[in-house]
Amino acid sequence: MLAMSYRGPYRVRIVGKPIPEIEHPRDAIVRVTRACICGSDLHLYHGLVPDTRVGQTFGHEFVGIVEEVGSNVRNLKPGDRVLVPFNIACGECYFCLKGLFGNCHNSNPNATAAGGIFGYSHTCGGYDGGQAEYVRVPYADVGPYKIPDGIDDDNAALCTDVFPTGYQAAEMAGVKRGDTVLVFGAGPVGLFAAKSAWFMGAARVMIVDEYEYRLDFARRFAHCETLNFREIKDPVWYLKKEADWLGWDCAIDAVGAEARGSGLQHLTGVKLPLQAGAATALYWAIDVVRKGGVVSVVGVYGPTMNAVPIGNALNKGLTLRMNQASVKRNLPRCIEHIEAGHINPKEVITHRIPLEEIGEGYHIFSSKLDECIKPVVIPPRAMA
Amino acid sequence: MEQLLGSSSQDVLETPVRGGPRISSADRQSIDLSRTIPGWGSDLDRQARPGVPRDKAPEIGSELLYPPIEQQPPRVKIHKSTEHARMTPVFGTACPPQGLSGMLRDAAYHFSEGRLARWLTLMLADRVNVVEGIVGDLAHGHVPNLVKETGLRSELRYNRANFMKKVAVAGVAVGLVILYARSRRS
Repeated sequence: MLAMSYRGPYRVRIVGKPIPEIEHPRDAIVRVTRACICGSDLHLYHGLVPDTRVGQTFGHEFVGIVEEVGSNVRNLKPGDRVLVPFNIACGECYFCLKGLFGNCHNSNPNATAAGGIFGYSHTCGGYDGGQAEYVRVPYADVGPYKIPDGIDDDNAALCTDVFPTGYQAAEMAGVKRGDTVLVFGAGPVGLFAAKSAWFMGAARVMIVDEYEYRLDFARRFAHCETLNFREIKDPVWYLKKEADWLGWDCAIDAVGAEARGSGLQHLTGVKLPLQAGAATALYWAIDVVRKGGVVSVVGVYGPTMNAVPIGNALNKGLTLRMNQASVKRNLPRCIEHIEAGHINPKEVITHRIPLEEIGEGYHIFSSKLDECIKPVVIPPRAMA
Repeated sequence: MEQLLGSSSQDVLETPVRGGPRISSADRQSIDLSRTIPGWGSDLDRQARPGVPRDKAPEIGSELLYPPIEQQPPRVKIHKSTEHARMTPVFGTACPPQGLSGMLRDAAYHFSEGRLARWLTLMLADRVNVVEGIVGDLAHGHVPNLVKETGLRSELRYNRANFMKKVAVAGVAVGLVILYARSRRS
């Protein structure tokens, strides 16, 4: 089968790999029909995530058709159209039983700091991902979700990660009626976080980014105000002033490890491995939220440490909430929002790339070329 | 305010930086944007949100960290964190450790996740692995197509000026290296 293969920072190619096999009675093999490239895939692509091995296939956002199921999988059968949450979750452990499917303890032998994630380095379990024609899906009796007839593959693919993650970002921010919500990052997760903040009754939502085309899209898609921080000498000062010097009720970091806006953070977090990514967005979020407010983090950082003003967070009495999204938990509500016509996630898709051209797909997304917001990769059999 | 927050592109804000809706916090508590923003307020009830309660209480006695799940047979070498009490029942089998990078990874996994040495050793192993990948390609008679692997054609298509700048900088750098080598020889 054709599969994406990581060759080193900024290098990926398509190779032939054996079709994956059932390795556990709770496995399924899924033929991929859509796979997205996620902003967090770029951290792998840029070589920032420890234990990213040459030859691994990335891709944790995919949908497809069940080809084969293990002997203990009773809820799926070959031919079922499924979306597969990016978290690999056993459904039975201490954490899964609490609904924390993003923190499963039985899917990642390599680290306890993260649950298993498809195609996301050995730090997240060493699984091949879905940017391929076929993929092995462990615990297939827990994660995969049969796609309702009214939901097409594009919308389903965006429900494997980015929409539920954006939704959970707003939920963790505790948005309530009348709140002011500031979202850092106008990528897909930030856009869905902004939309979700409205669902939860926000009175004002603003998105901060540096790319004008993304901010323009954010104004149309997420109905929110925008700020291009490149046009402001001191974004924190401006954002405080915008919130009548009180500060924002909620701030959401939907950027993570490769934030721009601080030369020092970029040097120490991206160019040099002195911290686990540039934490500029989180730094600003802590500073601009009001005393007693909430900072919600869904932007991805590495496993070591980051320079953020934790003393300010203490003195301001902030609540900091963060997690990988528990997609399985959020999925039913996200699907309801699509079916109710509140949101059409596939509007964020800007590029449809044949799997064979994945090198260009990564470069376009990484370099923000051609006004790229969300690229979707399509295997040859699904192109027809 | 409702006009500003409308969904059509004609309603978008005129400039990227501007003041937002100025309303008092008291007025915000009674705000209703449901006529202008699709789905506004549909999840107002915080108790009905999927993340509430934050931790669902499992049945007493079922809170096992390692429930009895059938063990996947290990076909390849799998690294296990020292912070896991046992091997997880399921794991990925992509890219087993090999070569010098594999030895470095073996060493890294002796450290707990709280030790910087673990993560820095893994990142060193990643860089060594990249060199191993190139050597492996060449040993199998495959010269990596860097233009295709790096997606450089899209740079030419969508960012021609930057592409030409990079080519010029690379050309100057190569030229300087050649000049330096010649001057050393003479």
